[in-house]
Amino acid sequence: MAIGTVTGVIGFSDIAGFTRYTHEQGDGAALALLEQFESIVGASLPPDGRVVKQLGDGVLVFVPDAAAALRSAIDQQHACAAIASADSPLWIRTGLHYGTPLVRGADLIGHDVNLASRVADQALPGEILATADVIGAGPLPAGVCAVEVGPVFVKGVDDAVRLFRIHQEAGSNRA
Amino acid sequence: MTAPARIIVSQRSARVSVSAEPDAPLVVDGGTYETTGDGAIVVKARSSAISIRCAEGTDLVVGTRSGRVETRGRLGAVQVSTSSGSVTIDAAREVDVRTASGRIDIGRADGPVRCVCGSGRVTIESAGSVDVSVASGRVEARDTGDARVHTTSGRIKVAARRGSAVEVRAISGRVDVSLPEGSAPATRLSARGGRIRNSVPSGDEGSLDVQTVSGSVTVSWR
Repeated sequence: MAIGTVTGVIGFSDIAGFTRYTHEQGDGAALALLEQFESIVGASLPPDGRVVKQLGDGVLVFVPDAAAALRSAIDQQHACAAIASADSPLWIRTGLHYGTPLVRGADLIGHDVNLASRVADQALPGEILATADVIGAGPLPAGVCAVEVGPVFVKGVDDAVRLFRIHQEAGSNRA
Repeated sequence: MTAPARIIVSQRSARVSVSAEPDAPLVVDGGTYETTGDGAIVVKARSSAISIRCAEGTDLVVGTRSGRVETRGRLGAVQVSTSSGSVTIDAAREVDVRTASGRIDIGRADGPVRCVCGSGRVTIESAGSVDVSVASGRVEARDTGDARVHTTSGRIKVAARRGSAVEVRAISGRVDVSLPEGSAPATRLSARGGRIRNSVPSGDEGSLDVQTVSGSVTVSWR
């Protein structure tokens, strides 16, 4: 199989507590929640972004432009927060990393993909974390802030990773 | 020497102890340090335990893979990330702690406290506001302003101040929220598979939004 590379933002988003929710509410409720989530993710992507694959309780996306990826992640969080409830606990954690993964068919593989997954593990529900590579890849979208949360050691990576918490400035609207 | 604005400890495995005292000069035992161009002090460990003495109000950033982190005295903004190991913060202006497993104890924070914990227990004595997520474990905020708490399983206990905005999300586990006597927040309580006991009248003084999938919810005055 031909293997190339792409450069851009790899994003992982998953539903916090999905395993427990499935155990308590059953497979049918879990499937409905997942479909709701995947629909929101798909709608939030820019035209050149794509869902790479579904991962059980989350999705892996690729967006070439860093600013567009940040905007998309914020839109995704806002959309989930707007409809989240005890019946639909769409409490989402998002991790973003900018890199150059290998392309294998429709899939992406490599260290940059693994790192994006580890970054998502560090996030609070409702929180977006991004590596310094995302922040350095271009200007932040209007109204978007990045606050450093410090060096973080993540599984499978020797050196500490600089992570930033991404959020919309209070009172600012989508540019 | 004037107090360093920010101390950064990035060490794969080490026990880190920090003591903040009024106007104390910087002393590092168990490691060396250097000053970066922006004035930050970067500490490198030479042993499995680092002990730092610094001036009150100093900002502290610690990143470790394993090892206990403990501070005494009043620091500025404290950020700690560790894969495993307990974290104890005595007093700080604001706190951000992230750990995969281990116990987090926060004494007093004037500003926001943000904690992410995979499995473990989070206890916050007093904070301007709290934002806590624990996958499995107990969360207790004993005196806080605004609060946002999320757990997958485990008990949540929040004692909020009058007029605060309190938001709790849980899949399972008991939720107890207490408010000062006379409080009457805008209330939205939902427990899909659990019991709700609410003895607080609804009003417009702050807000209380609790949603659980299967845990019980108790709201009361204290």
